[in-house]
Amino acid sequence: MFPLIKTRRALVACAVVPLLASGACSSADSDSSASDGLPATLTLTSVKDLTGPAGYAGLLTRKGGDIAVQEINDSGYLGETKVELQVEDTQSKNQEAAILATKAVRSKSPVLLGPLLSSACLVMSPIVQNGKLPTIYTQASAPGINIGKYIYRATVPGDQLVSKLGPFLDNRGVKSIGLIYDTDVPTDAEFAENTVPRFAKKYGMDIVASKGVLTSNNDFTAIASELARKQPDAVGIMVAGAQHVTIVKQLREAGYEGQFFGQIGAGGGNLKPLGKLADGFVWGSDFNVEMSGPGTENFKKLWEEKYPGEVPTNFAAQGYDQVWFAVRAIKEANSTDREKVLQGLEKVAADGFDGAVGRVTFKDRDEQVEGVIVEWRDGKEVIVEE
Amino acid sequence: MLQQLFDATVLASIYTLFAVGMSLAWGILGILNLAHGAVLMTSAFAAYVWADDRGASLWSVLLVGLVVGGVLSLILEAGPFCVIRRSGDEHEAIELRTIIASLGISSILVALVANQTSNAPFSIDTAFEAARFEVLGVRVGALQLLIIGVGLGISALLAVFLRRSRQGRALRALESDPETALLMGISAPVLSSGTMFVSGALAGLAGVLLVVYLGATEPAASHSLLTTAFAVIVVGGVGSVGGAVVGAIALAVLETLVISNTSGAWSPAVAFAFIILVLLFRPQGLFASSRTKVDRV
Repeated sequence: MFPLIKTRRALVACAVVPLLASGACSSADSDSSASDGLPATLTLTSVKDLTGPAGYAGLLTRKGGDIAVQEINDSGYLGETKVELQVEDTQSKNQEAAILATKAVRSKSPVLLGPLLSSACLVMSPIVQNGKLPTIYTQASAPGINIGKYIYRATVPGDQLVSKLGPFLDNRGVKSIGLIYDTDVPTDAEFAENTVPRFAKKYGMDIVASKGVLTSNNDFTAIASELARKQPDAVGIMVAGAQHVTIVKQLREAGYEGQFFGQIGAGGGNLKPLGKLADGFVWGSDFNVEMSGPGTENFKKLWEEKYPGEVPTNFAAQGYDQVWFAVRAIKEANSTDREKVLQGLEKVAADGFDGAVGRVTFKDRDEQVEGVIVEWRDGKEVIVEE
Repeated sequence: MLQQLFDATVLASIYTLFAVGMSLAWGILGILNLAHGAVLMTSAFAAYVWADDRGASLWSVLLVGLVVGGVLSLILEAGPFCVIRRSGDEHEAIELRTIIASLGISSILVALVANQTSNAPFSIDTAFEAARFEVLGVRVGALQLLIIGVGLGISALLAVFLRRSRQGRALRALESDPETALLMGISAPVLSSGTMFVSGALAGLAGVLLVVYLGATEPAASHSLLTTAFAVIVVGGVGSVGGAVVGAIALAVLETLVISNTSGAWSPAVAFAFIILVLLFRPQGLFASSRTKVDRV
C-alpha cells in the first residue's frame, strides 16, 4: 500500500506544483472564457482510459457518451448550442492521467468528464479539486477519490454493489470464500480487503484464502491449484479484463467446482470467451440490458440505432449518464462559468434524473441506484435479483 | 510442489519460444526488435480471426500463427530494418534507429488489434479437446504436454541447427564477425531474412499457444510479455538458445513460487532482483560467452 501512496503523492506533487505556480494565470484563463449564456459550440474535455488494461471499459464508456452527445444535439436540448467532446486517453496510466487533469484545469472546458480507473482518478482528484474544475467520474470506487465539492461519481459506489452479493451468496448456502484480486487496482484491493470480509463476517462466511496478483500477471495455475485444493463454496474474482477468463478457466481445470462471484468489471463482455464455462458467475451491476424504465428504454433504443446488434453494457450506460449529468448542469447554469456549473451539478444531483441506469440520485456526490445482481448464463448476462 | 514445478515448466516453454526468437535476432543480427511482442499479439489475433466460428483444428491455428508471425517479421526486416541498416550511419546510430522504429511499429500493430477487438479479451476457439489425467499426484493436460514438447523440442532443434548445420555455422560466423563472414562469401541478406522469419514464426507460435493455454488475452498484454522476454534474455544471455530455456525456466519458477507463497505484488520485484544479481555478477548472461554482442546495445 505504502509504495502506491508514495507514488501517488509524488505524481500529484509533480502535477500540482506547476499548476499552483501558474494558478492565477489559469483561473484568469478560465474566467475569461466563461460567460453567461452558452457558446455555439460547447467543448467538454473527456478523459478516458481508452488503451491499456482498462481500455475495453473506457472505449465502451466513450461510446455511451457519444450517444448522449448525439441525442443532445439532435434534440436541441441546449437550443442553438452544439456539444462536442475533446477526448483524451490516459492509456490506463497514472502519470498520463495527472498530466491530462492539469491540462483540463487549464482548458476552457466548464466540466471534466473523467475516467473510470481508480488509480488514475486518485491522482486526478487533488488536481481538479485544487484547480476548481467540476469533475464527473464513472466507476472509480476506491476511497480517497471523492475528496471535495468539485468531484462527482456518476456510478453507484462499487462496494454497495459488491455488498449486495452478501445476502445473495448466503441464500445460496455459501459458507467459505476464496479471493483473487489485483493488488495494484485500488478498487479491487478495497473490495477484497474490506468489502467482502465485511459481508463475510456478517453472514458467517469463512475466507479460506485471499491471493493478491498484479494486472500484469497472466498465469494463475499456482493459485488455482491452491484454491481448488481448499474447495471454498465460492471464489471472488476482483481483477481486470482477460484475467477473468484465465482465472475461471484455470480454476475449473484444477478441479474447482464451486460458485464464482466478482465486481462490475466482470461485465462488459469480459466473460464471453469462456462461454458456458463461466455459467453461474455473479456480480452486482448498476445496468443490464434486461432492465426497464423510461431512461433505460430510451438509451437501449438509441444504442440499437447507433450500434445495431451490439448489446449495451454497464460501462456504456455510465458514459451516457455521465454526459447527460454534465449537460443538464450546464443548462441549469446557462453558463460555462465553472462555479455556476458546479451549482448546476448540485441542483441536478439534488433533483435526480432518469438515466440509462434507472432513476439517478446522489448522496455525498456519489450516484445512488438500486442495482441488480447479474449472472452469466448460457453465454449472456441475465438478471437474477433486482 | 511438483504441481507448481510442472505448471512453471509449461509457462517457461511459452516464454522460451517467445524469447528465443527475440534473442536470435538481437544476438546474431544486432536487431533489438521491440515489436516482437506486437508480432506475437498480431499473430494470435490472426489465429483468432481464422478460428472464429469455424471449429478450426489446433494445428491449423498454430500454422496460422506461425506463418503470420514469420511473414510479419520478414516484412519488418525487408522494410524498415533493412532501410535503416543501409543508411550508412554509425553502428550505434543504426541500432538506436532500429529500436525506435520497432517501438513505433509495435504501437501501430497493437493499436490495430486494439481497434479490431475494442480492447476486449479475445480467445482462439479451437476444436481441440485436451485430455487430462494425473501422474504422481500432478494434474497433467494434453495441451500442457504439447506446449512443453513444442517449446523444448523446437529449442533443441534450433540449438542443434546452429551448432551443427552449415547455415547455423554461417549464422554464428555472422554473429562473431560480420565483416569477415561477408568476405568469406556468407550471404547476409538471406541469413538475416531467414533469422527474422524464424524469430517471428516462434513469436506467432508462442502467441497462439499462450492464448489457447490461458483462455484469452488482450492487446495490452503484449507489453508485459516483452518485458518477460527481456528478462529471459538478460538471464540466459543474448543469442543463446540454451540460455533462453534456462532463463525462462528460472523466471517462470520464480514467478510461480512468489505468486503462490506471497502477495502477487512481489513477483516482478523478486524477478528483477534476480536479474540485477545476474547483471552484477555475470553481465553477459548465464550462458552467453563474453564475446557475444551484449555490448552492441
